[in-house]
Amino acid sequence: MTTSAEVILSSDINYSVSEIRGNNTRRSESESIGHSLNWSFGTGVGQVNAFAKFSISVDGDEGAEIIFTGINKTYLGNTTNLNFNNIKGLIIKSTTELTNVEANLVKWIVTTDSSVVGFTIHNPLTQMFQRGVGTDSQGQVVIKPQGAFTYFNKFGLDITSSGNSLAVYLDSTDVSDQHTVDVLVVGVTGI
Amino acid sequence: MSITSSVILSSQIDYEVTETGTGQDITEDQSISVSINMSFGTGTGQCNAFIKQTGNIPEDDSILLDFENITKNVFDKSYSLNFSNVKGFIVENLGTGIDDYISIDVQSIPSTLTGLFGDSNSGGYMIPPEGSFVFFDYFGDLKPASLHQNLQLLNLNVNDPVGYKYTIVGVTG
Repeated sequence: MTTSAEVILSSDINYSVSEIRGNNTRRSESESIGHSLNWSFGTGVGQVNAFAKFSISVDGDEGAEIIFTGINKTYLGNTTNLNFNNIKGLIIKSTTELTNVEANLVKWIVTTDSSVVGFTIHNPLTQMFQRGVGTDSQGQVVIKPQGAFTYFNKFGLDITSSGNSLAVYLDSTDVSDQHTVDVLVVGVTGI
Repeated sequence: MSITSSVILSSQIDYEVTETGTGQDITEDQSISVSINMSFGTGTGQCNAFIKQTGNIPEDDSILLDFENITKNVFDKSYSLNFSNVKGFIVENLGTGIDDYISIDVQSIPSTLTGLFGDSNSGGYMIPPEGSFVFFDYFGDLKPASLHQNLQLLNLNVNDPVGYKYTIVGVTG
């Protein structure tokens, strides 16, 4: 049996601006970050052997926990359980449509901080937010409508029994509907 | 005078896994992508200010991003950008070694930018080597103000400098 994989991770802001003054003056500026990574199948640096994509549905003003040691993956009608030793790529996307007039009220927070979520985060994955040894390792990052939280780490972020979960929290008391975020994670299992 | 612009903010992970040699070939292909287009202006989904910078942070040191005073050089002249809101922000860590982490945070710095890191307005995010931090805000609710305009990029490698790139798009004036 041979298994191969191609994983592409990218983030960018690309802008192009043009200014025309009178008949003869034209200025333009184009810039791009162009951040792109290509990884392969395996367990080494820049390699992954486990892959999952799923959605989380959360009611307004509530949270949900992503536990990386127990992610259910359904494939062709069968369900398996992925227990990540480390994660190397993660993207959490807000599916809130920009055409929704209430969209600007919807704000997601990816966090390890139980005090703001209001429910227990059993084993927070603090290294993602840790600033340094001995400092506050709780963290929160905001996701706005159609935005995303991303994490790319070619060396891998170790998942341990005491640090294996993130919370996703819908921080809006004005929106009572159910909302969904999409999650894709790649990493290493079985070592 | 007329000014036009095209701004595309994007982020994506795509994977394709193939297993062969078991009598049946199995392929799994999945992706999640984000792509937001913005035009020129000051309204929702629009920007009128743009900057890309590249630099190095000395070992065990930091730089301060003051969103109300970011110097932009054009044709050997410099001027200051004063963002009234930020609609796109990306920082790429150019370090490649295992110790080359950049912390982007609002801890222990004066006039902290609020709204990026949630309600506690504290904490930070670790950008791994070759990783990046992204923030896209179509509506532009991230608004620097005179007492809330700073972010810090801290090089956690105590032995070597680390390179970075960042791009900010938003509204000034």
